[in-house]
Formats: sequence, C-alpha cells, structure tokens
Amino acid sequence: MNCLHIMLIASVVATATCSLAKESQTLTQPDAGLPGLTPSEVIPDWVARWELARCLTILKRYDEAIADYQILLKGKPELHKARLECAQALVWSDKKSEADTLLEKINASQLTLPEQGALADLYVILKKYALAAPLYRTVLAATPEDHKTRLKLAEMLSWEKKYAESLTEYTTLLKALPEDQQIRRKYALVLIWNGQHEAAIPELRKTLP
Amino acid sequence: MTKQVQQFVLFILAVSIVTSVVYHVLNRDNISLQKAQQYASNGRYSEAVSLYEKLVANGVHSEVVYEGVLICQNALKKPEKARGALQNLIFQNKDAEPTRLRYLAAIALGMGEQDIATQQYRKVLLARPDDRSARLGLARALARSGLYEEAVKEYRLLLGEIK
Repeated sequence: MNCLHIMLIASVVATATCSLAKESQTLTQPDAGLPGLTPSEVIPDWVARWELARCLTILKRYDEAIADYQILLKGKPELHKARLECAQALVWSDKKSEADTLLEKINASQLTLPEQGALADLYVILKKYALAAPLYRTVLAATPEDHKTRLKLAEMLSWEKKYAESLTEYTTLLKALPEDQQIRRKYALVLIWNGQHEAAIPELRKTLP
Repeated sequence: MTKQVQQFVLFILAVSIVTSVVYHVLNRDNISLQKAQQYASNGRYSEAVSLYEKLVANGVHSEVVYEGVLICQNALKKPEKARGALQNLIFQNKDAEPTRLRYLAAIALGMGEQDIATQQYRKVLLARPDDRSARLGLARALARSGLYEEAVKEYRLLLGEIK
C-alpha cells in the first residue's frame, strides 16, 4: 500500500463523511433572540375588547368606549386599570357622577404609580381633593423628581386654601427649577392669597424681563 | 508486522486530515453559520453579525442567515440594519405559508415596523380569514400606525360583532 493508495482511500472516505455531515445539518435558527414576538394562538376576547375600548377612547367615541369597558369589566372585574380608563372616558364625556361611582370600586393599591397619578387627576377633576392628595404624595415619595405631579399637588393644595402646604411644595419645585417663570408666578400668587404680599413682590419681579 | 502497523496508523492519520480539510472546504458556510448561531445564542451578537455578514458576502442569502442578522441587530439596537434584514427576510418569504408570514409580521410589529406588519398580516388573512391571532396583530399594527378607525373595525371583526 503506497502513499497514493492511502490518499485515494482517504479521499473517498472523506467525501462520504462530508456528504453525510451535510445532510444531517439542520439549518434552523435558535429560538432565542426574539422572545415574545410571536403572538399566542389563543386570543381571549377580553384582550381584544380592552384594546378596542382604548382605540374608541382615542377616537373620542366615548359612549362606545364606555359600553365596551362595561362589557370588559363585567367579565373581568379585577382589572382596576380598565376601571380607571373607563372612569376617564366617563369624565371626558361629562358623566362625572357615573365616574364617581366607578372610582369607588377602584383599589388604588392595585395600580402602578403612573396609574395612581392618573387616578389622582380624576379625583381632582371631581373635586375630591382629600382622595387625590395621598395618591400624589405616594407618587412623589417614590419619584421626588416628578415635577409635574408636584406642581399638580401644589396647585390642588392652594385651591383647598392649604397655603402653607402648597408653598412648601412650590419651594421644593423652585429649588429644582429656579428658572421656571410660570411656577414662580404661581408661587407668588399663593403667597398673595396667603397674605404674604411683601414676599410675593420680589418673586414676581424675578419673572419680569 | 511493524511496517503494517505503521502503514495503518499513517492511513488513519491521512484519512483524518483529509476528512477534516475536505469537510471544512465543502462546508465552510455551514460551519460559519453554526458558529454564528452559537455566538448569537451566547449573546455575542457582534461576532455573530460579522459571521452572518461574511456569509451574505459569500452569496449565502438564506432566510436563516437574514433571521440571524435580524435577531443580532435587534439585540445590538441597530434598527436600520435590523430593518434591512427584515426586508430581505420578507422578500425571501414572499410565497411562504401563512404561519410563517404571521411570525414575520409579529417580528415586524415587535420592531415597530407597522407598515410591514400590516402588509404581512393582511396577506395571512387573505389566506386564512379566521386567523384570530393575525386579526389581532393587524388591529394592533393599525392602531400603532394611528389608523384607529380601521383598527376598531378589525377588533369588531375579531369579536364577531361585524362581518
């Protein structure tokens, strides 16, 4: 057996091995990488109903949206977020007393922080300030740099004539946003309502060119 | 006897070397592909992408390669490149069966490519009007495109409230 024979046999064996290897290879992509992008086969009606109600709300077709939210909540009463959204649609369609009734059934602890903020906004519209304040404070305790929420709280406290508390919130805001003229003017107004006219003057001057 | 053993060992050695060389030459692309897939599975997306790109440069335009590029570019947060791979993938699958098209539509939707997703979902629904998953995907794609009126219609169809 010389070298040429060896090489010949080797080539035959190699070719056979390669074709076998090629056939056995599976050219499939591993599943990892795009998790959750394939929708499941089973789509429960309530998911579609909820998304439909949201679309209708965006289209300002509130009556239809409310009807769909009501169907949704009948089958899924535990969906506090949907209840909140339904209450929003009711408020925006000027059905405040119905919204009020619906809000009574909401368990705020089941909501996320932004949802608690939205619930507080609804309470403010319904002039239920006592219910709104603790929610705003919960949001602010978790995210003290949420200036929008702090401003809402400061304004609401001033409408309740809780000037001292309101001014505290404004002071915190102005520490974070000293250049914000609108906040400073609102702060000055609360100072005036609180009888602190002397203190209001320099604050208002700061907002003038 | 000793010479025979020597020859046998030499033979085995030669077979191994030649097998390995021939295998690597003939299966260069498959080996690269497997390596790329391994990299992608281990989260080494940049290395995977460079292998996938070499494969494309070598003329390998298989959907497995484009899907790999898509996965990696998505993970690397390179939406433009991922979009390119997605479009190639869609092109490769233009006559694919509805389940595959729906999968691609779902990927497109996940990537924020609403128009592509809408197109693909519509193709699925042409073939399979009762595909609830595709109908929901279409409604979502339309809603995310701001086409709420059309989305509402699809949701109502899905809920069996209109025909």
